[in-house]
Amino acid sequence: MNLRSRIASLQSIVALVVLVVALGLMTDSFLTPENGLNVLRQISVNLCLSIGMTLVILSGGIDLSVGSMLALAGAVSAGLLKHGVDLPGMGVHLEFTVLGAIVAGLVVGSLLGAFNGLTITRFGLPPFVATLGMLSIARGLTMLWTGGHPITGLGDTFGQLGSGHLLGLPTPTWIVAALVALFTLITLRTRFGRHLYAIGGNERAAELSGVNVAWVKMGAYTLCGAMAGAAGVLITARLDSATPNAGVAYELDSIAAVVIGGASLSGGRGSVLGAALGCLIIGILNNGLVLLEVSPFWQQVIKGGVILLAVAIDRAARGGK
Amino acid sequence: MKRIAPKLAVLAAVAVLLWFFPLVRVTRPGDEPAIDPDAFDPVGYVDAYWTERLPKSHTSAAPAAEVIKALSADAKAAGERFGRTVGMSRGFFFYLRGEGTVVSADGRKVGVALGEGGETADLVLTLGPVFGNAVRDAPGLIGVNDFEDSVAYNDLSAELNRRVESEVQPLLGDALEPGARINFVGCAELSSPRAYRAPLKVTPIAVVLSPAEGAQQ
Repeated sequence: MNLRSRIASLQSIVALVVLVVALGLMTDSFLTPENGLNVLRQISVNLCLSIGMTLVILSGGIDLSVGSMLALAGAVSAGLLKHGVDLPGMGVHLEFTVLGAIVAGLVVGSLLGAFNGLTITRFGLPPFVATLGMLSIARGLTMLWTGGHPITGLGDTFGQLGSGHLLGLPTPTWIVAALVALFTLITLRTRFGRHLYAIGGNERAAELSGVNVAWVKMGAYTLCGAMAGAAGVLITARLDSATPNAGVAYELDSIAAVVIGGASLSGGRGSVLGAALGCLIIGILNNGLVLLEVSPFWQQVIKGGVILLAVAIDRAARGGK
Repeated sequence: MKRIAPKLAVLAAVAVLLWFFPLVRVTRPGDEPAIDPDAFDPVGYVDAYWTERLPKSHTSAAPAAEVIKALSADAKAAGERFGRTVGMSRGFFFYLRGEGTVVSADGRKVGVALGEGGETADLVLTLGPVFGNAVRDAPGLIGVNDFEDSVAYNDLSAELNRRVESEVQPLLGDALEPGARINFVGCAELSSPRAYRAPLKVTPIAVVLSPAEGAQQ
């Protein structure tokens, strides 16, 4: 590994350290245990989305629908938990347990993700277009499912998933830490993971080498949907409410996290750990800007600037590649 | 056979897991559990609160003209003087009352010039879906410790917001004419002192209207 590549691989960590030190100097309330836990809890949803987004971006694709899939999965999960389902033909009512509601959210996300994969691999739609369509479809379905109103009052047990603590850390932090570990293993130690990198690096070469490109891409989009479903369940549990507008523009934060974490938008380069670092940087930046009482309008401008800067530094460090 | 065995083992493990932690419970008509007499009833609670406790507190609401004047001068100082904070939030809830003239009404908001004869809106009374906890938290009559859990506390907020939508907002409908006199009590929220932008947005919780002079009765 030459010096440039070493710098490139460390840029996220350097950026994180610089950010933490700068914010620590600029505001007294930043470097406190309470604020640290707050940041960890806040980034958990974006981290969930970013894990899935990493898989898709590694394969050379993009998924613009994660925010809408999050909303629909969360709404279905909340709706089933609160109201269950009537099966009129059989004269029975299905009452969902908390576990059942969580599984339902994951299944909804996975099905939507699989649909994305199907439209991309079977019908040849560009990922940008296919997932843009899903962005609208899933948001519309969320509105239909909820009638445009939030679903609230989901109970303490479900709420613990988003706002509880385990061994001093927020429950969502444990959940996403486990997911980061699992997907790091999947991407680095399994055939599926190696195929993702191969397809992103050179799809034609991977295909000629015997990789089933369509199946691997289907897998990436399905897992991305499942992660959006998990994020939907987490945010719904945390807010004790499934709102039809949940997750609007979250896809931008997740793409930003993956890119800041060193991934290439053309595929073949990136990692789940890098995405986690990217999420941490974005989360700390958001938190710091709020603590510094920067106007929300300026926050958007600054975040956009940081993303551009991160990509520019990455390109420079990698010799303009 | 060797390949099937691990799959069967996984299936068996999942089946056992689902036996102890089922995803759904099947109920039939008539199986519904009896209503828990101790369960929190937000509708019943709000019935009493909305018609008895809350109206009595209207006189304790801050004069809107003073609040707006103070906000324009120094929003943080205004928040500390007239507002309430909840928990660790750095935002403020304001409980205010005032009298003025309707200067605009478009079905989404009603602009009100406070006092006599004003022509520009000092504040707007917002219409449409009510979100957040301003209606619950601004008057300062209800505390989180009055409830066993946060679910009940949140349900209460949702029910109060629904009352505003169903009982107060219809009084401020499309038929409202500029020039009408209005007497109101409302709640407002600022997420931080720097978030203040004139005119202040207020969620009305009680209004009394007098028609515009010269308007047909």
